[in-house]
Amino acid sequence: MQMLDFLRRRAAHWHTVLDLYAYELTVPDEIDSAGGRLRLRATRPASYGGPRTTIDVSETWMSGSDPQGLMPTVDGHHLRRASWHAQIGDEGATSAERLDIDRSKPAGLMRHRHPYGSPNNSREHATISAPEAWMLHVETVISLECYPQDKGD
Amino acid sequence: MQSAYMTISEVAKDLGISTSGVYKLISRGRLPAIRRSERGLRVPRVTLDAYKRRLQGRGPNLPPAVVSTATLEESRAAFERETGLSPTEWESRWKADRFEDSAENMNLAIRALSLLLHERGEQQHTENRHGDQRERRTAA
Repeated sequence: MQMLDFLRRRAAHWHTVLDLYAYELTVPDEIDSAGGRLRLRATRPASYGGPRTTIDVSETWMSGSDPQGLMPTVDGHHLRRASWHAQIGDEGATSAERLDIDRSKPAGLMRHRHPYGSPNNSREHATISAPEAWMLHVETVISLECYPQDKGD
Repeated sequence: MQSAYMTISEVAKDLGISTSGVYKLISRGRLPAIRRSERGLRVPRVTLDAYKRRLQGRGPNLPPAVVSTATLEESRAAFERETGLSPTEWESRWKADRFEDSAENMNLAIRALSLLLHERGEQQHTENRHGDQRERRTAA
């Protein structure tokens, strides 16, 4: 599959996952097929007493399977670097939950998260590498941090 | 105010289906549910709203993607204007952990890597072309 087709398909996959959680794309996706890069942003307005949340996804892919075997192959391509950022409520690094995939970091932190409530220099090892799992994780963070006591419990 | 989270029973009643039907929706990935406590799964009300919109055929409005037509030189120039560094210099400093690990810098790191990968693709094409020219001269 050519890189442009792959990136379009990847974007469509993100759209499907984001829609499950009621996020809406408000700006066009950015696709740079020559560099294997995709960026998309989606927002969910404040509702039911919860915060407005913005998801910012940025990824760089390469054709072929990962020669180091670090990342799974998706439709004949593998992920080289990515940042999945959820800005929950107020602006600022501590109000964000972010997952980074970055081979320039030590092996144990190649996939790491910057947890909600912590500054940028805080990194924790992470195992998530699929949009579905990460969005569920973000929703759980929102639930526990923004609705500590909910009468539905 | 309505609770932001619904129990499985509440969702079943709302949708007019059985609780096993709700569990099926969850297990098939069509309705997200989270675990807030040991008391079981909860469905965020916003995700139920989104599910009902999809049932009504009201899909998301997607603005068309912007596919870059910038040349490598244009993209590099834009990067250097924004950062004051070439992609190679940025990548080198990023790997040395000399930048704050902010979301903005991470996005720049992703762009820098993308430009470098693009460059390597161009270089490979150039090398192949030069290799072809050497073969033609030899043959002549």
